[in-house]
Formats: sequence, structure tokens, C-alpha cells
Amino acid sequence: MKKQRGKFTDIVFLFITAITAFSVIAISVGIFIVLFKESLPAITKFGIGGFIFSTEWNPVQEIFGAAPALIGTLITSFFALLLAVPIAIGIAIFITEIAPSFLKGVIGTAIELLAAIPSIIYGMWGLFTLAPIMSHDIEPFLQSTIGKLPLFGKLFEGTPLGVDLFTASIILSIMIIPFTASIARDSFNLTPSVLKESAYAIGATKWEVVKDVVLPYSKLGVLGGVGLSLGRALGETMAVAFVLGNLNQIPTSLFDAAATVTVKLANEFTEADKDIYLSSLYYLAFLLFIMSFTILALAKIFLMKAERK
Amino acid sequence: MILKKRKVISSLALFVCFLTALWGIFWLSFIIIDVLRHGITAINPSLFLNDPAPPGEEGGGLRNAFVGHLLITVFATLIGVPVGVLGGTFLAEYGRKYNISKVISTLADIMVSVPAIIIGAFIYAIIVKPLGHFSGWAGAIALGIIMIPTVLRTTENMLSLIPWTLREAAFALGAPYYKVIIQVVYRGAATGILTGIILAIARVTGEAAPLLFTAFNNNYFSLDMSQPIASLTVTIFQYAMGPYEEWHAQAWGAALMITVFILFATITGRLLIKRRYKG
Repeated sequence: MKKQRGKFTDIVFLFITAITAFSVIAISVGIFIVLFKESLPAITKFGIGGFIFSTEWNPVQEIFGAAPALIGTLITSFFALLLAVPIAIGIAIFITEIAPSFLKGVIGTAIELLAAIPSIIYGMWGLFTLAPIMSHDIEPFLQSTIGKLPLFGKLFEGTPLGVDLFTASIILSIMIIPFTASIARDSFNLTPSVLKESAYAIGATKWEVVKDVVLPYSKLGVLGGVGLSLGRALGETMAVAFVLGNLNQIPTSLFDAAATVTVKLANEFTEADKDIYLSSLYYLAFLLFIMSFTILALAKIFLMKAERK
Repeated sequence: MILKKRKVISSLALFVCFLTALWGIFWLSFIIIDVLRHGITAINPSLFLNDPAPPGEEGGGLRNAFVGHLLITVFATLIGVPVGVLGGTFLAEYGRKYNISKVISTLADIMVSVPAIIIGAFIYAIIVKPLGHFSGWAGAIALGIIMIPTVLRTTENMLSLIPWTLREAAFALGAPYYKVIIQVVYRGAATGILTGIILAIARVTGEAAPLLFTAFNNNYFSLDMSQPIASLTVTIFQYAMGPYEEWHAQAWGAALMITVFILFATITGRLLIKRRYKG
């Protein structure tokens, strides 16, 4: 009799845990369906190409296009990656190969704390501290040096206000360093020491070991880390919302104010008074969800392949 | 001669790596010192004890936002932690042999990094819009959903670390599986699970994006979770973007409190896990 009851409780417990586990699937699928359903009016009105490539964003005339926001998202994420990835890999090399053991833990923790600081703090600090420094010192300096170069200089035109793509990309790059760095560090640690020792034995210097043995061996893992950082950069909201200005135009210079998908959502969601307006914002959210989900899934696949090796 | 050149290149490259580490540390200290410097001057009793005053009037505070933030976070934890821990239990115990468990793990890993603002938009569609108004519950559910994948994955990992022989010993005594899990496996993995929970709470405490259009904001003191409710992060966004000096100062004060709490929680979590699994 007692045994029977134990068995019954066991089944109940199994059932509860199973339901909670499947809630992850339910939520993911639910997000996809709900976002799609909410954006359906906008999808039928503007189509796919007509929405993605249109630059108009006019709530009064109810014409909406995603191009400026999408381009803003892609530019900030791209420049953030360009800055963050080499630095993150450098940090991972420093922690795994160079640092004395008492520094390893300290620096590793410090870098991971960069990921713990909330994005709203980054944004506020960016607005009040970094943006003035940018507009007074760094951006004029860049204009008078790189800005003078032909072709390249185009990127640095305009009045340096500090509230622009450049500042946003710098902040984003600081925020995503820890994601690439910690995964790159783990992948570097997976390199068999036999491989490294054989390289040292034939007279390779430390840098040659890192460059020719460790990096090629762990490239899948590093790539996964880069993908994870990109996924984070695409979806970052508050940090960018403070320093980008939510200006609906295609930027021509890095010193232009712009908008990203997330900034548009954060600023306009509660103001959307018409159904088609709200639906267009959901369409943006839907596109963002698909983009970041795909990139994060690819990153995860790379990481799983790297682990299996 | 060639050897010398290679050695120089090597030292140079390694020095650059050292500089990248400095670059990371530089920004971390820059941000923390800046938040401390601005925040400290804004910390006074009225920040915690008074509700917002109209701009220009002295003595306003953020009591409503502190209390609202606490409420939202507590309820989010009550939603996210049980679901996450039990779900992780299924993946590591009952469901460990099924392929679907691997699918759920992978999906949870992806969901950890899905933009938080998307979760906000999702909750807006399924809760705020049908009910017709913003509410504290919507905010708590949004944050709870963000917690689930983090807690679930750490629980799964921590349970998998418990040696299988320990469970077999308990089975041999005739214990049913649920008793083995609760009395043996959970006990062994308690520190690890607790760490996961602390880190998840630390993460959602700093979230603003999912609250913007779920809990919204409220300029008055309120304990009613079925109405719009103030939170520190949304208040920081509103105040920092606003035109008044007092608003900026109060935003810095709130930012300092959040940063200190999160850094403290994160470091505690890391120390806990280090002590438990050292060696």
C-alpha cells in the first residue's frame, strides 16, 4: 500500500517536472506565433520586401518601412563586433597563456563583471559621461586625422555630437567583450597540451604556439563565441537607446544619429495609437527575433561541434 | 638573427594581449567609479523614504520605485525559480535519455540570449492588450520568463555533476525516484542551484527593456500588482532622459544602488560556486 503511494507521487512529480521543462518549448513557439500574429496586418499591408527596403516611417500617413532601423542595427552590431572580437581574443590569450595564476582569476572575474553590469547603467553612463568626451575630444580628433583620408573620411563627416552610431558601437563593443572572451578562453583551454608541447619542442615561440596551434584548434569555439556576441549586440536595447537619438534616417556617417530596431520598439511601442502602427512595430520585433534566434542557434551549433571534437 | 626577430615579434604580440586585458579592466573601473562618484552624492534618506516630488521641489525620492522594483523581482523569482528548477530536474533526471531533453537544453541556451525587449513585446500581446492596461503582474511574468532558461540550465548542469552511484545507493534502500531526487540529489547540488538562482536574480534586477511596456511606470506609491507599477530601471530611463538636474541626480542614485546590488550578488554567486567545486 505504501509502495503504491510512493509510485503515485513519483508519477505526479515526473509529470510536474516534465510540464515545466516543456514550458521552454511552449514559450519559444509561443513568442514566434504571437509575434507573427500581431505583425500579420503589417505583413499583408506592406509585404516583406516592401517593408524591409522602405525607408519611410510615417505614423500620420500610416506608412511604415524597416530599412533605417534594420541598417542601424546592422551597423552598430557590425562595428561593435569589429572592435570587440580582437580585444576579446586578446584577453582570452592573456588569461590562458600569459597571466600568472593569481591574475587569471582576478582578470577573468573582472571581465565577467562587465557582462553583469546592466545595460541601463551602460546607457546612462554613455549618455552623461562617454558622449561628452566623444563629442569634445575623440570625435574631433578622429575627424582631423582619419577624417582627412580620402574615401575613408566619409565615415567621419558631420558635427560630432556624441549621440551617434560611433558612441553606440563603442558601448556595445564593451558590453559584448565578455561573451566572446569567456567562450574563447574555454575553447583555448580545450587545446591538448601535447599539441602545444610538441610545438614548443621544435622551437616555436609562445606567440607562434598561440597563432599556429591554439587558435586553429579552437576556431569553431571562438566562432561560436562571436556568434553569441553578435546575437547579444543585435538585441541590446537600453544601452543603445540612450546614445543613438532614435532618428529615422539612413545614416551616411558614423557621426550621425540613427535608430535601431530595439530603440524604435523601446521609444514608440507605448505611443503607437493605431493598430497598423503597433503591428508594424511587432513586424520589426518579429524580424529581430528571427535574426537573433538564427544567429544564436548557429553559434550554439558551432559550440556543440567544438565540444564534440 | 632570425630567432631574435621571432622572439621580438612574440613578446610584442603578447604585450598587445596584455593591453587588451587592460582595455577591459579600464572600462570596468571607469564605469564603476563613475557610477560611484555620481551616485554617492545622490544617496540620502529622502531618496528611499519619499515619493517623487514635482520637478523643482526639494526632497523628492524614489520610494515608489524601490518598492515596486522589489515587488516585481520577488514575484518574478516566484515564477522563474520553481519552473526553472523543476524543468532542469526533468532534463537531468527523468528525461535524461530522451532526445527531446537535448532539444530543450539547446533551446534554453538560445533563449537565454534572446533580446529581452522581445519578451516584453510578447507579454504585451498576451497579457497587457487583452486586459487593456499595464500591470505589475505583466512585468513580473516577463522577468520570470527571462529567468526560466538560466535557472533551468544551471540546475540541469548541477544535477548532472552528482555521481550516479549516489542515486543507486538510495535506490538500493528502496526509495522511489522522487525521494532520491529531493533528499539526495537536491541536497548535493544545493549550492550550485542556489548560485544559479542568485545569478538569475542579479540579471533580471537590471532589466529595463521588458518592463517598459508591461509594468510601465507609476509616479505614485503603489502596492497593487494589477496596476502599473514603478521600477527603478524604467525610472532611471525616464529620469536620465528628462530635462531636470534633480532627476539626473536621483537616476544616478538609483543606478548606484542597482549596480552595487548586482555586483555584490554576482561576486557572491561566483564565490559560492568556487568554494563548493574547488579543485
